[in-house]
Amino acid sequence: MKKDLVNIKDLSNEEIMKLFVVADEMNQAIQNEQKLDLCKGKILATLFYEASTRTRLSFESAMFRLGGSVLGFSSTEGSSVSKGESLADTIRTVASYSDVIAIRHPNEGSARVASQFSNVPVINGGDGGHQHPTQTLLDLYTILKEKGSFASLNVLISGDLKFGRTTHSLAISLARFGVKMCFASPPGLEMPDYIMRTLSDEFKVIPKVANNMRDFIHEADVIYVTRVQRERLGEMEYLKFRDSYVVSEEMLRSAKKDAIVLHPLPRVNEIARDVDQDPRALYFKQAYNGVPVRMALIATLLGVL
Amino acid sequence: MKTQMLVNGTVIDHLPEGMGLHCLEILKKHLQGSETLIVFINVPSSQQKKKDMIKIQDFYLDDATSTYLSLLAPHITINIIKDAQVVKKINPEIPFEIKGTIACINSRCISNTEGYTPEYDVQSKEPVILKCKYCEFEFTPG
Repeated sequence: MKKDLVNIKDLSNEEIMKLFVVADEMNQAIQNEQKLDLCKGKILATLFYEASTRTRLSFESAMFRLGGSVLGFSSTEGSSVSKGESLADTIRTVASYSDVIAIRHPNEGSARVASQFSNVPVINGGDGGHQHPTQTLLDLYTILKEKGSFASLNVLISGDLKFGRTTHSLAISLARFGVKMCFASPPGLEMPDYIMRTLSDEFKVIPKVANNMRDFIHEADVIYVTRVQRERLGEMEYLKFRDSYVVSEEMLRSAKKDAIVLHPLPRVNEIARDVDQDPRALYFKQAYNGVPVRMALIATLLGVL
Repeated sequence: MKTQMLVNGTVIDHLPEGMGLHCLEILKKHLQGSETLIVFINVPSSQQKKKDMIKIQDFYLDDATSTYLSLLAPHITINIIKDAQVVKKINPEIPFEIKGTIACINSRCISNTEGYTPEYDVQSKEPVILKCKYCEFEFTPG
């Protein structure tokens, strides 16, 4: 039976840890410039209905590094979607051209629909403001590599927690690993109620909440920053929130010396450029980790390991 | 207060105070327009202090609509009347899962934008909280 990754809950903690063992091997292969042919003859379809740099390119890089091929689109222009084709029909067709599908779509729940109409594995590359489970995998992988374990960590998740889909999947998975969390967001961009309820009801985790990340920055081992999701807000709302929080070197003076700063990227202005020089700023390393982690995921879902 | 007796049809009883007209709005699309109906508002009730009630001549609710109404008013009773006798009394049970019946309130949910049949897990029956299986939004129907 095919396995999809639509929701981070589709993977158990054990499955995630197994993926990370494979990701280590993939990383080693990349570092050794080793040519892999695990996915020789296999095709990944990348259907990106929304803009993307890292997610799409790292999926494609991952498949090429596994010896496979890639087809797909990076915007709906030029595909039959612009003629009004339904998601179900597009998926039915593309599933017959490929062995695995990675999809990003502006509507919440779209990856679930895709999984229902596909006979090949579907990977959610972001569905509206809902979830972004593969970003969570590489976030978790980065945290684990840098901090050694999830035990006794305190993770500050900050920014647009309402529409920031990466924060939703991350919060759920961190709760499942028993990690302590605090949330900081401007008023109006707080973590949705359904996520808060999932954390408390399913995992008995009740994060501390504030409107200013300065309240928590001194106690955080991981400082996870997200941008304001302009594409899900009206222009006036975006302007209201745009400059409401900025992580600067000055702010990081009160952070732990061994804290790490992560960001799913793209960054707009929520992390000042001077922070890039800080050894605690690991967001580009985090972005690199997307390749070995996605290699591990593709190979696992295709059953070629 | 004396009202015309229902010979054949449906009585929707124990609607919470203020729900009668809202319920009628929901039923409108199922009615032919020619049925005789009465909406009772602020009826004294031993259980609810005050309740609303609807009587509709020659009309019977389907299961989906009964479920929908029970989501809005978990304690309703639906009485089926034939030859002026109550032949069936239904207390619609809220199921653990719901398919169709009600649209997701999240306008960005794929079930709304592309018209896939909405599906929900019932998180709580009192108050009713539904969780969309597509977008995971939780809401109380109203």
